[in-house]
Amino acid sequence: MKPAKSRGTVPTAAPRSVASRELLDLRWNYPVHAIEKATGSEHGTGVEARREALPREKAIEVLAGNDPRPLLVLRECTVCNKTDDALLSSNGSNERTLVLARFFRCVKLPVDVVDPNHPFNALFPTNEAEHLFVALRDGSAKKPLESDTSRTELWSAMEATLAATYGIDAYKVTRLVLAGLDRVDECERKFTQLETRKGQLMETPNVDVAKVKSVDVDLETAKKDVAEARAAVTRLFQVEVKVPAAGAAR
Amino acid sequence: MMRIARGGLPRHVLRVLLGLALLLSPARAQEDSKSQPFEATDPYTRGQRAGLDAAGYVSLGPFPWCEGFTTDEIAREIAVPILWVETEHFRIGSTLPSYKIASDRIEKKRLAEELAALERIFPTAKFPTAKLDPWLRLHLYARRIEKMHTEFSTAFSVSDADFDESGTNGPAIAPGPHLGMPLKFTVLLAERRSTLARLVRYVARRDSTDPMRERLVGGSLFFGISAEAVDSWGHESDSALHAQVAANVAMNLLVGFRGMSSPVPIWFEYGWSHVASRRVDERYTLYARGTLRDGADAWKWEGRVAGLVSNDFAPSWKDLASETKFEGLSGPDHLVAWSKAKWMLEVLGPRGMRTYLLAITDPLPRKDELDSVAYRRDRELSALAEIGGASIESLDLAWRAWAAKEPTKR
Repeated sequence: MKPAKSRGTVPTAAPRSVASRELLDLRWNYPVHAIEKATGSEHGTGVEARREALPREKAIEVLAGNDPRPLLVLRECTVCNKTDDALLSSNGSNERTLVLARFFRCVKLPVDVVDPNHPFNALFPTNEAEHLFVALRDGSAKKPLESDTSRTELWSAMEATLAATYGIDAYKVTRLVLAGLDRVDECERKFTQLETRKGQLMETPNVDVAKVKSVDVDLETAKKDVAEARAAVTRLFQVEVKVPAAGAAR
Repeated sequence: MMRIARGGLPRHVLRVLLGLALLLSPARAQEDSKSQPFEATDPYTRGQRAGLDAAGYVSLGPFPWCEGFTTDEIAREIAVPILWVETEHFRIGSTLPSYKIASDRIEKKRLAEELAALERIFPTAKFPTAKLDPWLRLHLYARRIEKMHTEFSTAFSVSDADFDESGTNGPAIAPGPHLGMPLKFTVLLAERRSTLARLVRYVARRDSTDPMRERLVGGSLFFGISAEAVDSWGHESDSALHAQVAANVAMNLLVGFRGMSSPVPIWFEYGWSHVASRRVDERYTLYARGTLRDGADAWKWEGRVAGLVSNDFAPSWKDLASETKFEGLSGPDHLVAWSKAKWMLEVLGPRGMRTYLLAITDPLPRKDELDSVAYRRDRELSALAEIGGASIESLDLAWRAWAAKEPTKR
């Protein structure tokens, strides 16, 4: 059999464990504006709700929701439609990007956002608009980015936004997170090996039950280690915003 | 609200699936990843009533999806080309692109059989030999999903007439015409995670890019999945996607029975879904947490269950019936849940399974102090003992004897 061609797998420097991949998971939001104006609509009767572009301030407000984090907004396009190409690199490690992204509210808008009637068109008015931007949650301090933006520029823009929002040294936090993930990987691998070993023993006819019990004891310890390692990384992601985000978008 | 309505797939399931991407064998086929517009007119039915009737379809759209949302409105919001079909029991949307048929022997054989059946329905249509186009994939999945309904009805000896409120066939089991649900079951087969996420956000106001099951407004049980998600677990094949669809549609039919009147025992929900998934392809029982093993024969579960039985590690019916959360099911629990569900279907037969299903879905008494978990466990075990004509311990012994011989039947 040939190696897997995993379109959905984000390239990272080294294979990470399940737990680490979950912690690094890029969690996109996919806003649908019709919901916000659905009250009193005639959905289901065959009459389409009117679709119109929101003013930029309102569009930003809808994207930000109640989330205090800064914004990372990406538009899909017909060229890089299949992937997160505008944000992630296909030929290098994305771990630093993924860690930084966890501190943002990541929003992905559809291809037709460039349609003048699309509710979020004000953010990407034409096909000439950038593919991605980061900004404070009120839309200020916007930094337009492209898929061919260098990693250094991308990280610099993300880290500057994080510094303004959280007052953190994002580079330092990233290093701590990656070290924490290494520990998670180590614990998770040990746990998985033990769990598999236990299963194999249980399914082997006429096994010595004492062997299973022995693995069970080790398994309990390994389980606690995994939980502690995961919790340590989770704590690093739990940073409060420096000041309450203010007012209208600019 | 019931479990299914709250959460879609349990987080633990997703962790298992993420793990598979790292650990399981590689993919067997590739989908055409280029964006492609779909043909406006279905080349198989030609959009004609005669073609639709031959296939047993109600419509190729537009039609209402669930209360408050039409397929046209959804298509506008997700902003990608989508094909629709309404069958007798389901409303299905698909954004799946063309699929290059893989060299995998098992998949090729199954697809050949399925395509032969479709050729009989559409005798004048031209069928591609190496590639499934988007319309053909829609027809295949429509038949596969309807087949799940037929298998459910046969296994549990139920029919639409059981839910006919006209009184012609006696009192209805539950008011909803669709196994007790008010609206038809809905299924989205998306190529990309974002399509699923946008549909779920639009119609259910939920955020999820992962495969999910959800009760939609008005009473349709929905299942949505993306090929991109299955790819990311390390499986690009149509078989892998098909097996996940089978597992989840089977669960929705079971959970939705009688209008979600009572939570179905978690062990049986998964045992039944593993049976459904493994009927499609035994290699992709991806929802069975803790069953992953190295080795070419790891997917042959009969021998593994027999090993658990011989070492006395197989959970009893009491053990399984006492578990109420997916997270509480271990690898051996999944293996045994599958085996016991299979045994029940084989030994108790459709009449017995109907009695069992009616017992476990009987609406719960409205008592504040009712210990719902104990009540549901006891009524399930009592029903099983009554149907089997023996004590629950004796049924465990009967299953053990059966399971010990199963590996020799393969």
